[in-house]
Amino acid sequence: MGLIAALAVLRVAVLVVELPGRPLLRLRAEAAVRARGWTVVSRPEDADLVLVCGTPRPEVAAAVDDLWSRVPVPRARRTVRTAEQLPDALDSAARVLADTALQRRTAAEAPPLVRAAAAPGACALARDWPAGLLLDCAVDRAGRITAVGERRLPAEPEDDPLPDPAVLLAIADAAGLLRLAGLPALALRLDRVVDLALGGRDLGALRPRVRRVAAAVRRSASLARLLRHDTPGVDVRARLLALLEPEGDAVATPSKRRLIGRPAAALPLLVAATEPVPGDA
Amino acid sequence: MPDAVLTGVLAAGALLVLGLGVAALRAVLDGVRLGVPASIAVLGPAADAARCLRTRPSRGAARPTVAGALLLASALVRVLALPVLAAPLLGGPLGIGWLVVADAVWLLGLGLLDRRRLLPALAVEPALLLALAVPVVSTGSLDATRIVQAQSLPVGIAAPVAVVVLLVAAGALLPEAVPRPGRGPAGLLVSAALAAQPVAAAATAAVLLLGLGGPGGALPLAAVVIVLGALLVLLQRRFPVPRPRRLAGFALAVLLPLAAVQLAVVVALALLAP
Repeated sequence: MGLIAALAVLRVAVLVVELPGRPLLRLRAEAAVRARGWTVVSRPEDADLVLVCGTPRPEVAAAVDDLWSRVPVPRARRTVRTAEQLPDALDSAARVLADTALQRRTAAEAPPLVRAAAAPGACALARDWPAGLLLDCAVDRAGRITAVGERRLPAEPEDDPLPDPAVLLAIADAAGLLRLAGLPALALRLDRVVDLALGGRDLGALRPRVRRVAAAVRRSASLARLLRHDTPGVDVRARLLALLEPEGDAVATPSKRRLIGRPAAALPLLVAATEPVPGDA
Repeated sequence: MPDAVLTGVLAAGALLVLGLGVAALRAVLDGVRLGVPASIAVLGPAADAARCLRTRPSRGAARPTVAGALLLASALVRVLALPVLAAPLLGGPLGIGWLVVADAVWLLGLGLLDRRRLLPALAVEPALLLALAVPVVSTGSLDATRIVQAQSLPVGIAAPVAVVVLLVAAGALLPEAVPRPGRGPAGLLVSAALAAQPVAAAATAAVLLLGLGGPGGALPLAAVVIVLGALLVLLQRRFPVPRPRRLAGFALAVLLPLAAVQLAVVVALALLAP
């Protein structure tokens, strides 16, 4: 392995694809990725490795293939069905990525990438987007949403031994909201809490960390102003605090009809803020 | 090699090294949040560069690659127009007008990457130009070397707002307007430009508004640039990344009036001075 390849596999960029019904497997995959010092990315164009969490059913297989086709060479793709498969999958992916000769052959066989529109359904697998949610939106000339149709791909119940997963899923959702709101540094703190909890640390002992993030959200005037402008009519800040402080006042989940009249540019943030709070669904 | 060229090469090298430092600081701060040891996280920029170098260029990659090269060239022009160690490599009658050329090159690169981001970035320019006008008005010269020499007391003491506006506009807002093109040579060049730009902005503020640089002033200048660059990185992490339209609104509604008032104060002081 050459020096460049050795350096490159020190920090593999992984696109973790959550199939419908596999949120905890996705969190475990992200934790395993970060434990190696690798990074989780949001766009296939930035990824080296596509890690699919769950068994792709026919209705999502084409969308997964579409994501894969947009990953530049050198690249690797792995599918895991259980958390126990993660270490082997990541090890073998690292070997494939480091194999320069293999990657050269792949590059010779694969057509050069052409930027194209994503296949229908690909957005339903995007990071920080509710897995399996398909939205049909009409947008007017001013870039505002005028109509919304909602459909969900079928999800299988997840079998994970984690006690009380709703709290952890709520924290992970809050991390996603913070990323979408443009505060990735704050989201990393919550990612760390999730990783530690999945590693066996008592969630009660991690609560102070979550409270500190909630306090930062509460006192950030710039975040409040930005959200007020970008997502008028949907209180994203209240939603964030509801996810981070389950003991606080309950916040009713707005209907997807609240998206009508809102700017389409803020769609991922608006959608994330109008999903049911984990455990309340 | 003529002195000016050697100085230019050294300044460009320092820009790239300090830019690498900015990228490493960002990687370490992210790593610390995630429990990754700093000794591993600090290798992040080198690993990302290696990933970009290994990536097979996609069809149509020439345009973003040229754009990335222009963005990086802009940061270089900015530094080469300053008297970092000796007289600037890019001087002449244009003087610190080269900084406007640097901005134009930046905007050209940005336009090649994404034309829709051009207007928000252009909205940052008026505040930036007013902040740059402060040392010119205060010292009565366009020549960067004379601007430094004329500052027995740094202009930044009478015009602290200009320092902040210059740092925020050139070091934080202009980079925020740039979309990341993913892996490949374009990704590497854009990443390098985005890391170098805060350093270039810090150097501009340190030289033109704090009177640092020139012969014998390299070490204090380097120290101040490192501190200002690190401050910019830390501050950027505390504030949400604005969408391009909000970025333009902030530049026009907040930075521009601040820069205008600051320039007015400096003009008044220049008129009142004997």
